Amino acid sequence: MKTFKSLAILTAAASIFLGGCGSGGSNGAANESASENFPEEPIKIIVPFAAGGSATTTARLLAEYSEEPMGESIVIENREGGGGTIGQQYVSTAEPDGHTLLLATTSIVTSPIFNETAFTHEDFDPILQVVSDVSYLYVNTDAPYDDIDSFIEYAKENPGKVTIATSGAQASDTIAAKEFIEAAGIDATVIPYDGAAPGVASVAGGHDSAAMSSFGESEGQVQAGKIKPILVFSENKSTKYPDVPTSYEKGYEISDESWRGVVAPAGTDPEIIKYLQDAFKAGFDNPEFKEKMENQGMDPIYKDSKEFKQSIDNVYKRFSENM
Amino acid sequence: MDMWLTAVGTVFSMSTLLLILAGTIFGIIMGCLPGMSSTMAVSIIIPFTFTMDPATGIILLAAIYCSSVYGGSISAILLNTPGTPAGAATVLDGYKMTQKGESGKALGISAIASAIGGIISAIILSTTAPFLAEQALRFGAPEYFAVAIFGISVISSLSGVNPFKGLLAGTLGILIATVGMDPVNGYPRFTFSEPHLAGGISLVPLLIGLFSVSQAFVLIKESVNSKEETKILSVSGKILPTGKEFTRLMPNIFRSSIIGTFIGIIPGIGGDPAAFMAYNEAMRWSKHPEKFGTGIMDGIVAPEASNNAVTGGAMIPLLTLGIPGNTVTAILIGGLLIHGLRPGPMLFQENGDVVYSLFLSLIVSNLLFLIIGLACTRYFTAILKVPGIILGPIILILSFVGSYAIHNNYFDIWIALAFGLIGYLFRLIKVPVTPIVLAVILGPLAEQSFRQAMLQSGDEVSIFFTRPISAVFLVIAFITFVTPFVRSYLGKKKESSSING
Amino acid sequence: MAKVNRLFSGVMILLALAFYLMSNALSEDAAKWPQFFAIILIILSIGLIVDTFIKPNREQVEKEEKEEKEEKEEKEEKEEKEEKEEKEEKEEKPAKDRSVLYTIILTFVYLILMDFIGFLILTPIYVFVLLWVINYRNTTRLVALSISATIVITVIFQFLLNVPIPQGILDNLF
Repeated sequence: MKTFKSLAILTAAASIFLGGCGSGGSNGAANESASENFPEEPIKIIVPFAAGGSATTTARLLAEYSEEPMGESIVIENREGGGGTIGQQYVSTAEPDGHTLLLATTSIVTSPIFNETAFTHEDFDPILQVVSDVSYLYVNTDAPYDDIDSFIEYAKENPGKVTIATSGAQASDTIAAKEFIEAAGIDATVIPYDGAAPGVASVAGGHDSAAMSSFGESEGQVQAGKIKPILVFSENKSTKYPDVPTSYEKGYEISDESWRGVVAPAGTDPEIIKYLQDAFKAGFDNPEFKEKMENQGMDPIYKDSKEFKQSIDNVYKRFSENM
Repeated sequence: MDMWLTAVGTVFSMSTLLLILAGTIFGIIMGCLPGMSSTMAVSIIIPFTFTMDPATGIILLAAIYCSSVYGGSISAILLNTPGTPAGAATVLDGYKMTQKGESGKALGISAIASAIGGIISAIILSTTAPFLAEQALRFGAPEYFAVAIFGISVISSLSGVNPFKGLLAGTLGILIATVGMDPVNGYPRFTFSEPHLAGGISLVPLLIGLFSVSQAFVLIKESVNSKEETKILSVSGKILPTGKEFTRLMPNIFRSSIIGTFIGIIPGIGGDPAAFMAYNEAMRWSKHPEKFGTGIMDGIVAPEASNNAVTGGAMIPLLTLGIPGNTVTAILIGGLLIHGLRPGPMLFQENGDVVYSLFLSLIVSNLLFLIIGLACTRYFTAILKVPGIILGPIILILSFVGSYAIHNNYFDIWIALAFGLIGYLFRLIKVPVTPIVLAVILGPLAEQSFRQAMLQSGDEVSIFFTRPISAVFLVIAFITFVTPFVRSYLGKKKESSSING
Repeated sequence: MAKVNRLFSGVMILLALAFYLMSNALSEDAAKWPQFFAIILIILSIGLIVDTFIKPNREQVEKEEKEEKEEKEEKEEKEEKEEKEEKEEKEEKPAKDRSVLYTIILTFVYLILMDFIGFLILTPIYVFVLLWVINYRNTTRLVALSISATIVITVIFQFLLNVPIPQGILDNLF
């Protein structure tokens, strides 16, 4: 029955997409639930950060390519403040009818841990994940080490001297760096910066020994010949740098990525979640969307609501274990 | 050379020039309005550039950036309310000139200084960018700390007659800036579990409160007092400085432009402190440092040349290394990336046409706002003819709308009102508010880099003195801090000796 | 001024103590920076009190000193002016204090209600009442000004710049 229902909705979505008509919902899809007439009004995606940032760009691009399959217009609204907590708080208490959504980043997990917010990550129902930026470990090209093995060797010879720059105390790469230090058994210090760029610059200038960062934030410096990646925190080989060893190859079971996705307030009808997931997936699959995301240096990687929930829970687990 | 020719073709087409013109006008207006900072102006327009071709889009954004920085000086001079944080230093002498009836000249010299500053930095950008970007990388945490301390040390020159009050205001600013997330551990401080405070007290509503809201209260107070003889500030006819004055100001403009470009290059410092640093240096090299703050042209050209020079400087690490130096360039990077233009050395080779068009458009935009600024001075000054009793309430409403709009956040309106009250009270008891702004801008940078440096060195304070750049800046900071005290001490000694002798 | 300075110092000391004591609840490295500057604030406040005690006329003295440097003729004129201004200020103190006080109270009410009622409806009323309270009694102009200011700001921000303004009960109007 369930498969039938979702199939029906999919067909409905597809027919709207093909027909390009504005009124979605009542195309003979399954009845009896609230999802029947969904969406009834424009969908609002709240971005809890400043306009103009990469989170906003992600939301805008996704909205642009998902409007047709959604059958409604999608509005992006920036509600900045409190390092993301204001917008997150707003969505966590919004009507769970699927019309108010949140562009979620790792901070829906970390804000409650650090800032004693009124909500937790469990106050959101994941819809889908659209971006996953894997973290790399970068070192200066002139440093006395040029791969992960010599880096660890150097760290062991110079205990306490090695520093690893990360993109912020509340960012997951700080946890990954700590996990790495412990797993490698080295005596090193984690130094959180305000975003990835200043940490990368610090390594490029030789002030820190290594930096955690994503491809997009560091590629300029790699091209400039200042820094190079020596480790990718993932199970799989990097498509960007196929020669760089993975953490799993080196025997560290640490993977780290910063993801972005869309979530709804907890308690949203699963049918509606499914509808939203399918509509956004259709937008995600548009090659133009992928191309523009890749231009931004972001890895467009799709995860459905279940897999996305795992990503979220995984971050929560790592943070609560490490803090 | 080919790149330059292509760039000339791109920039000097009718449609592009019109676009630059539109962007420049938009930028000036946004700069004038309280709350509508450069960041805001650029983020409003960026979605529209997604559909333009890459060169046109980035040219438009750059034009808006330059002109909004200039625009901030107009309201600073005329209304005592800086339109952008970068304009906060221009208030010091700008509004004093308006009070003396020299608003036309103040606006004229501000437009000229801004344009020269912008053009000098654009030339530096287009000639020596890669070399300078290399130098910017030599700044690690200890150097950032030293520069931040240097910036903060300027407070002693901004303190006016009673140094205690200025220093108190500055220290208060540093404490205000500690509200919010601890910059290293990420845990909240002094937030009383209020989510709106978790990110700290936002700079723009604070600035709007201290300057605009309190100015509105002052206007209302004054207009009620002088109800019968509604005092209208006179506007003298002259806009352009005389040749002699201009020649005298030239070294100051040049020095301030270099300071601005330099501060712009260092990622993370941002343009706002550059204006204060240039103001301080102008004072240091002036023969009449005591005249600063009384309404002299030197006090306007220094911050204006400097804050506009930041625009070109900030593009250097952005374009050559992909490091955004401030919030505006962080947004600009998105405008490049969306078209697949990745900042870095390859950008110059693969998309040289875009880069050189950008250089050229910076110069064109600076010239355009100079022309617009000079031509419209008379219209700008017309605002002084509006009686304070009407201007006051309008500034109030604009302040609240601006505070709300910047983050789409209701809480920020209350911040603006709270700091409006503080600003008004401080004016009554003669405590300067500018040190608060400077300390709020630089305090977090100082703390973060101090603690990062401590982590790097394993708690060895010597790290600040063994690294040459950091040591030099700390020495300059010390000199800057004590100079006003030494100067006033020597001044008094001289006076008393001349009386006795 | 001396009394004001002492009061100001007192408030700053209390504030610094509050920051210092609240910092005790934080981790050691997070507390150091604010505590250091809280102590500086206290030292400076004490400095201001002592300074005001030693040189109660510091701010006026320096003014005179400055003026001495200027030309003598100008100085005389200015002093006369200043004296006048000072006198005026003293005379009109009660009236002026109230106008700003009214403005502040009105603004509080305006901001509290804005979240519910919204900018568009509330602002004309606010401007009208505010101007009335501060003694602007040209009714035609009052009405014209309060409505036009609201419309102009709404058009510029909401429509031209696409920047949000608080909408209150008219939430989905635009």
